[in-house]
Amino acid sequence: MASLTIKNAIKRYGTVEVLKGVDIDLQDGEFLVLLGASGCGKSTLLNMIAGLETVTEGEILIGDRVINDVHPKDRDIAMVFQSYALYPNMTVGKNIAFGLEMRGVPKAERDAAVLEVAKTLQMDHLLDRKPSQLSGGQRQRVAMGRALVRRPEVFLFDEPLSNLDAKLRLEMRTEIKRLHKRLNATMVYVTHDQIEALTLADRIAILKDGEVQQLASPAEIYDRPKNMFVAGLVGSPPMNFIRATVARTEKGYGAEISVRADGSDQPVLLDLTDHPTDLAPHVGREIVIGLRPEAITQAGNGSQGTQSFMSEIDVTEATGADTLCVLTWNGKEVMARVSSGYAQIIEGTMEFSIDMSRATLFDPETEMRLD
Amino acid sequence: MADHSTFVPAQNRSNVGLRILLWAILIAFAIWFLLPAYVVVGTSLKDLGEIRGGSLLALPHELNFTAWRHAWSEACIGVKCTGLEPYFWNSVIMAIPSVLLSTLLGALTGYALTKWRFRGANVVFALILFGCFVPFQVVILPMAQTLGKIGITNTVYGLILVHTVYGLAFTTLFFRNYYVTIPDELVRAATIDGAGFFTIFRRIILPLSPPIIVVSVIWQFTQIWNDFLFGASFTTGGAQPITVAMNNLVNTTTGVKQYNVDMAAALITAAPTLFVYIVAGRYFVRGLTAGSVKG
Amino acid sequence: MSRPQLKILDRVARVLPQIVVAPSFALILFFVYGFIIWTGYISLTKSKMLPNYNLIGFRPYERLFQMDRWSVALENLFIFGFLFIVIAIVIGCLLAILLDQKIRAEGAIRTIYLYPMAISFIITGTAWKWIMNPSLGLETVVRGWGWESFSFGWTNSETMAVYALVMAAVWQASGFVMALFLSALRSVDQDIIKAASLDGASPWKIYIRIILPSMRPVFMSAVVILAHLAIKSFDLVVALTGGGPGYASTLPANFMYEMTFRRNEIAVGAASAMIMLATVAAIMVPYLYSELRGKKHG
Repeated sequence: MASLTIKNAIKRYGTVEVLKGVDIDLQDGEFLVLLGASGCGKSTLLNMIAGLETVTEGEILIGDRVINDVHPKDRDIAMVFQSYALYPNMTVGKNIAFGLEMRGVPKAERDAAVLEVAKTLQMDHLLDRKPSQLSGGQRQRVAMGRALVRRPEVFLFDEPLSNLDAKLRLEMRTEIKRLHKRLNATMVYVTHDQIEALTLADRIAILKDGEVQQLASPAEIYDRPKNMFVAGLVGSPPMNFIRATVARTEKGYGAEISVRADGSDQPVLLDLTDHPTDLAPHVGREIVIGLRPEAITQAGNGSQGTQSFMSEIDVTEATGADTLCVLTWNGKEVMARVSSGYAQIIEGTMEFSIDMSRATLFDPETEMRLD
Repeated sequence: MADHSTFVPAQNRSNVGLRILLWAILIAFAIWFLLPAYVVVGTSLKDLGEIRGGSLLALPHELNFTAWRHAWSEACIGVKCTGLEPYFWNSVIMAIPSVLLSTLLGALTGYALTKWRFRGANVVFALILFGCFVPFQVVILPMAQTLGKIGITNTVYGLILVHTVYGLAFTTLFFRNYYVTIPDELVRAATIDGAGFFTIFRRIILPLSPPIIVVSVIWQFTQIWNDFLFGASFTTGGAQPITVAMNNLVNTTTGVKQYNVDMAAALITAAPTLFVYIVAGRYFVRGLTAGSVKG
Repeated sequence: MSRPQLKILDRVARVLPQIVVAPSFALILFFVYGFIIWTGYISLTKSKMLPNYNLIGFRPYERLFQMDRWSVALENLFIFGFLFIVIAIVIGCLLAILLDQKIRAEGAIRTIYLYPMAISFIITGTAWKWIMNPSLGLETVVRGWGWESFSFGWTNSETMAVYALVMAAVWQASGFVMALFLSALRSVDQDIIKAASLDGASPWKIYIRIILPSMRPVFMSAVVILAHLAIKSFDLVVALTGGGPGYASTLPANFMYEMTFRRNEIAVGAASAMIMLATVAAIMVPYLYSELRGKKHG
């Protein structure tokens, strides 16, 4: 197993810069997820690690070997593709064995390795089938098997689950997680699905326009997003952004917003006194208050550092375990998450409690988090 | 494609009249399309007396294959009375290598252009593509000169070269359009698995290619077999392909005009491509639609 | 360690695609583009029976456009090309729509409509020439049925010979156009058609208003392919009318052949070939350009 180091990687197509200097340092056995919308450069970066795209500038190292000019087959990597890229003319067994065959592994050894991998993935009964005779989930397994059989230093995954239906996706996600645990291999996983990123990753790198926005553990990305882009990308439903001006209050600091309740807009002062950010320099200035839906919930569940006030529910969406309520603050939609028992009963206005210590504050100009 | 359920406008029972009209038109066109075939076959089976005395559309009195034998082995073409047989084999010897060569080169070129998109690949493709549409009149003169310089004027090798080169544009187009529909990820996966350019071609791409190989082979065979311009321009006498020989046979005016032999000659000339069309025609249409998803 | 060696191999492997494309590309460059330049050059010389490489400017073109035979050929090309394209598309389109009506025996009918595509223009010409034979052909048969004024001896008439070419060419190509349209009809999004019929559109309206307009690219392809066929038409003329009577039904392709190989006017032949090329390029280049660009975005 080996570490993976990306030093100031730049990719240009002609004059277009697709990656603008990416630095990522991956420990041996770490699981990295590259998360971003399509066109952010995440797949390009993955292809550069695989050797399918050249590196314009910078260096990529596996272990302590610079692999910029090493042919993909000599990089000791394996890749699982979004479309699985199974060879349609070969049986499952041949598909899995192809990489070994290309490396000159003798047939007997190949067969044994294929059988072993097929057993781990519970598909030894499928070895003689053609890919066209398999279901989506089975194809996905074959694609995994093809990567596993070679025992590479680094596994690369390019949105491997996005062609599966919801239930299978969940199953395979767990499977991948289990594999990572068992193999303890270095893995790089590209996705646009933030839930996949949060569940799988040791660390997540969020990309936008060819730049890493934040590289951190899932918990840190979720709780301490570096900027409004990251905050908006991760979490479902996404974080609420509320603009308000910081003011000094008797206790400390606060920011006034208008909340719709009982048919009219009422002023509410959000208390920022307990917030860890030093707000002295921001008094009189506008900031963006980021509140996750779960930070706004039904009053009376007794958590600390909260304030509560009445707010009118526009629409509710039951999701099972809890219910999302759409409120109107500052004339805009705000999502709140309440226990499902509550929202089904109530209609109209109800009392919500807000945990302001969990709010994230941003500078409206730079969109960066205020520390 | 044919087994896809297509939308059918709702059929009312009162539309029987329309249905009859539809069939009338379809049958009228079928008659028009079949008329020359019927006349050619019919005439080739009659003797000259029957042709002069009877109607063009009348069925032959008996199955008389004299004209066929005559056209194949005895009829005079120019001054030589060998029938079409030697020219038939000229065409066979010319067509087979040209078809195979242009198909192989087209497949490799199409593969390299789509799956290994190097800088300038699109320009290369555009330049090759335009080669499909160049009127051959514009290349005939230099070609005649070049063949003379290489010393293969009036030989089958000259025609093989000509047909390979000018078929290349089409075969490249076919394979290129087919290969763009094969996902690039297959090639990427195989690259990571350690396969190189030719291994990927042989082990992955070629096994997926039969539909378009059929298209390329049928198209090239038809084009080359049916060619007249190159044959007439670069060969004379015994080296001519069958189309040129047949035209000469029909236009040879020594003695009595033997319409039945002319028609038999036309039939013999048309037979190989018709055979290919009837046997493999549906694979041609299927392969074409599998390739070009645009339209 | 054999590392460095591997690197050299890898380096070769990296340019292998270019190496593989090179022979084909070189062949095309030389035999197509090189030859175009070569012919262009000859068209500016006083080549007669043999190529002669002394430039004399555009005089061969002047001579070309003074020749009555050339103006007849051009005029014929416009008549032939226009009628051929329009009629083949109308028939092809009609047959495609009719065949799309869930016809029993569709396969057999399609085969009948398509088989002319498989045979040489030389054979098409020979067959129709025989059918149009003035004394033994269809004319006599129909007159025998009592239609005394029926005339089908087109190949021997100065005015009708061009239409004989149109008829035979349409016979050969309209099945192909039908196949083109039929496969396009079948690939029209069925949901749109369902939506339209739910909106109450009659089947006829659906064809006119929805399906045919969505087939514009196929129309374009058909026009381009047929135009290209028309400009190249050579063997059909040779077999059907011989360009005659006189040179009444000659086309530019035949003109070029006649000048180059029979009349020892190589420079004029080359000039006519260049005009043909220019005509094709005027049609093809914009079409190919838009096609290739369109593909990049699609």
